[in-house]
Amino acid sequence: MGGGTDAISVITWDIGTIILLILAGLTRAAILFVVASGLTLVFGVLRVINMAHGSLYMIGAFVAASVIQKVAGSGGYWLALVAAPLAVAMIGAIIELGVLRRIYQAEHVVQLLATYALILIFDDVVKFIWGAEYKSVSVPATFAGALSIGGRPFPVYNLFVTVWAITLAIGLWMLIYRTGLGRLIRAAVDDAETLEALGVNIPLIFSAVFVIGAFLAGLGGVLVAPLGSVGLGMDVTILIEAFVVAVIGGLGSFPGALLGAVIIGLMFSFGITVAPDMAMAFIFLAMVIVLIIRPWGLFGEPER
Amino acid sequence: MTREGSRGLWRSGWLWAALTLVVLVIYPQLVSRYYIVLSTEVVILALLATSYNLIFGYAGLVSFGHAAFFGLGAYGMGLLTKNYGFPMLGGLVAAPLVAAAFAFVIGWFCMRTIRLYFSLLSLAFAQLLYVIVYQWTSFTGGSDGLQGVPRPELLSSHSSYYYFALGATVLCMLVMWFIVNSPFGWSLRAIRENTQRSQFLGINDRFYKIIAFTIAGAFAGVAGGLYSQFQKWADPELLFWTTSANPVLMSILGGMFSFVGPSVGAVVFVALREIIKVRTDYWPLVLGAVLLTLVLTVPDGIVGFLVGKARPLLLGKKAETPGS
Amino acid sequence: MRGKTWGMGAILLVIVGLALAVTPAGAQKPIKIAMVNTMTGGAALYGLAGIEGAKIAVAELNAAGGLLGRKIEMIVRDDGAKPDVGAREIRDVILREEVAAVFGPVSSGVLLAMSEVARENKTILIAHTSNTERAFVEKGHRYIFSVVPNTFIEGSAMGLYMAKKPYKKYVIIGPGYEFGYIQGEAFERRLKENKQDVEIVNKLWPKLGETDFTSYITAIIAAKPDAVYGNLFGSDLIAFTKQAKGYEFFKKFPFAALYDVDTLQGLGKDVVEGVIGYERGPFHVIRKLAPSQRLEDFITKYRAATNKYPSTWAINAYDGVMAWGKAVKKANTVDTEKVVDALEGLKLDSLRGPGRYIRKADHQANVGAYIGVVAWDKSFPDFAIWKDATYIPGEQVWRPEAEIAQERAKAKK
Repeated sequence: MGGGTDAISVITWDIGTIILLILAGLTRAAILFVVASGLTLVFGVLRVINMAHGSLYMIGAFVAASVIQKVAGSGGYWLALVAAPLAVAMIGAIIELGVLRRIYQAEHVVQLLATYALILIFDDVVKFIWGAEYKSVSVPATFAGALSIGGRPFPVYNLFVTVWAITLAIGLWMLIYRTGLGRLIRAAVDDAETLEALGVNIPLIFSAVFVIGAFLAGLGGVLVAPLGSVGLGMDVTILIEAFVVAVIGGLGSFPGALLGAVIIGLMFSFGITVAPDMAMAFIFLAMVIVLIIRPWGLFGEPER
Repeated sequence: MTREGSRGLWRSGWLWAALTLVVLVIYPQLVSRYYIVLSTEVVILALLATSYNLIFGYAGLVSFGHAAFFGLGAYGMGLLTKNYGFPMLGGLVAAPLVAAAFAFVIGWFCMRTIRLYFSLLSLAFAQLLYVIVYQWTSFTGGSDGLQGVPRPELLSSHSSYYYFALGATVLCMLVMWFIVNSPFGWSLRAIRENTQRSQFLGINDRFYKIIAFTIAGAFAGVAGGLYSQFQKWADPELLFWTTSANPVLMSILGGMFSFVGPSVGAVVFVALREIIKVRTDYWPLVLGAVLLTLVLTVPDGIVGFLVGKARPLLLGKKAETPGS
Repeated sequence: MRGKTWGMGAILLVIVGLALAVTPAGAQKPIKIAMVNTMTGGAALYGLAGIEGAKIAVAELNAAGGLLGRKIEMIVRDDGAKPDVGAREIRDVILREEVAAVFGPVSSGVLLAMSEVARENKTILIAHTSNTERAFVEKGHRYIFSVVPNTFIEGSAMGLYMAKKPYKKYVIIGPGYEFGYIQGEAFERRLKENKQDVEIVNKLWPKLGETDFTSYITAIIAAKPDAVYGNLFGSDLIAFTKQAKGYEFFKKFPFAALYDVDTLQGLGKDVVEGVIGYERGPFHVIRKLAPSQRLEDFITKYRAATNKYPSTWAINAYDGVMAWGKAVKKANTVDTEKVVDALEGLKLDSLRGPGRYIRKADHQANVGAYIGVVAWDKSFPDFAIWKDATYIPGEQVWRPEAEIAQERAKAKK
């Protein structure tokens, strides 16, 4: 058999290496947070698990790739950063109106199957529009190069992504806890019926929440595009990972998504370095353990 | 149901079953190798879907990790016959035992949670097993899969294997039929309808559900064992969560509230796939569209629709279930 | 009610069965061949190139009147780089379409699965991209052929090449599947045979189609090797190169990987000069070492069809189809057994140059490895090619025939 899995890990542990691994883990956590926060938001308010969330992320990445290809230089990237999430948000609105509205009251299995059907459809639509090959997106010139941290070079763009995610976390927190819309959303989570009786347009709020969730997924796609390849299949990969993050953190909880993302990001980063064969297994093991011991996650609440 | 009524139904049900069996036996003599191979796949998938429906339709448990037992059965059969020289029949007995063992453990843990978390936990367990099979290259062959699963000389032709798979499947279906129509089966239905009430009736619902889960896993293991012999390899993708979606699809497609529904779903699924694939590359698009339409409009699946049962699945309420 | 349910089920079965049986099977007159290749996913780059190359070959054969007076029709199927899909597709084309030969795939894992089906159904399978040696030695059989250097040839050639360098501590990184492991094994073996004090300090196997290599890059940096040997390719290599650049990886570590024409075109300006590239048929090197009008015509046709320069996968696919075509003409029939006999020992009219033939022992063509250093060249403004290129012939490094017999005997136990 192939001598594949005997990865003898000889690592020199010094501060520089550890900082590098932490930063790399945080970059991954950043992407995971952006995506998982959308997933968890939609579940928390709408009580729906949107399996197509990963597909929205993928569409965001492909749209970004196209925009960056057409518009030269860093301008292309900045344009994509705005355009792609908006495009995905629009698609989200269409999904919400066309499909989700009909299944809010249905059993979870129906919601899972309906949104799974959307994955199948979106996969082929993306393949039809953009073709089957992987796309390569360059890091925008503004962020090219590396910064020396702890004696080791670390890509500037990765730092940008991490900073962006932190900004986003703060922004979302402010949205939920400091604005009128946020107040309405929180109220809708607590007691939608009373709110409706008070004359608030609940369906509109639900749509708004889903659109925000879609926007977040698209944003994740743009951010990740220069970090790796953009191709079919990235929806399934991120969906599983976002799931793990959201479940561990607690479905419906933002701080949960943040903490979950950091945990998984760091697990990945250190895991692949120390025990490459088992890194992914550990992550699913963590999800299993959380679901057994505390199904509603670190920050979640038991489902009503 | 009156005595006479039930006897009348009983008779015609078995008559139809016999007719179907006759068709299935004669069929390969009339068609090319290609369709024989296709039918073998359908038969095995029907077994898998029916095993899934034991817990889905009859016990009301939405597991998203059923593929794990299918895959474990496939690998169990493959590894035992290829690396340890098990005879094929031995493998076919051992594979479901392996799957059942895992199902019991996983089921035990899963039954501690409810509804959504149950689904998520079953998914998580399945993914965990997938990753382990995928990464354990020295034992399972890793991402390249297990190549060269041996098949006995007697079954080396396409049609001989078809008959073998058909025979094994029919046998398993009979067993499952008897289970479903036994007091055990009726208790499962009761648990599905109203867990609290069944608890008051003295049914230890957790225990029943674990047993059902184990049995379902065992039969999925048989299907897996048949499959790896059929394809002569096993592949980690068999355990991936998207494979788990297939039996769910087939049960819903064909109708989850009847025994034969999942089998019909399997036939339709494969037929659709073959017909569409000849005409276009975009088979997932069609499948997705069909599924979406089905889920949004006809919750009972094809069989339910044809037989005219109304099931308010979409409304999330549990209605009275006439016996199937 | 039960009866009704069964009745419905049975009727459905019959209807569906009839519908399937009535589906048109396709015309009989042309000779059908099939290419089962990867059209989606990370390896799609290579699969699509192979398809285009094969199409040009088929068009040329048809333009010259076809084979034995019949036109050739090529069916194309996608295996998605998954062994189970590949096996299903090849079984489909053999049983339903009744093809005379199958070409492909990209993934060595898929090759093994497909090879099993080809053997079972006694159909010729010609590998032009995937190259695990195991498909030809341990699991070899009468019906499988290769026009591409197998992992033993490629890994050994690179082992030989790197042994001349002063590096002692290596990290090997490659895709975590058959090709990565087996080729890495061959490399390690030949390297250690030719250089005493070599140490492999780590082996990393990201999955095929991985898009995020960050953790692997940091793991390599943490291991502090003298050099890094990679058998990453295609989209994986493109992503790895871009990401590693951000860590100034290439300034620290000499790096070798499959920098073929597709990968270089994909990288464009993101390429890093100075890395070692190896592959199986770079047109820009063949032009210098074994120029021919046929090659130039092929390049022209390929560019007209795709707007890109042909990679080795296109060239090899062309060679593969032409090899089969030549064998059919020699045997004067499409009958599998006779064509197989004709293929054994066949002298190839390869785009890669003269002197290529298929040896009988393992049905392997004596094609070798091309190695060079990535550098920009005035004549190609859009993508980098190589400088200091060299060619190591297949017969210099392939497994000796005596060893083949030994390996096969070992496998039987």
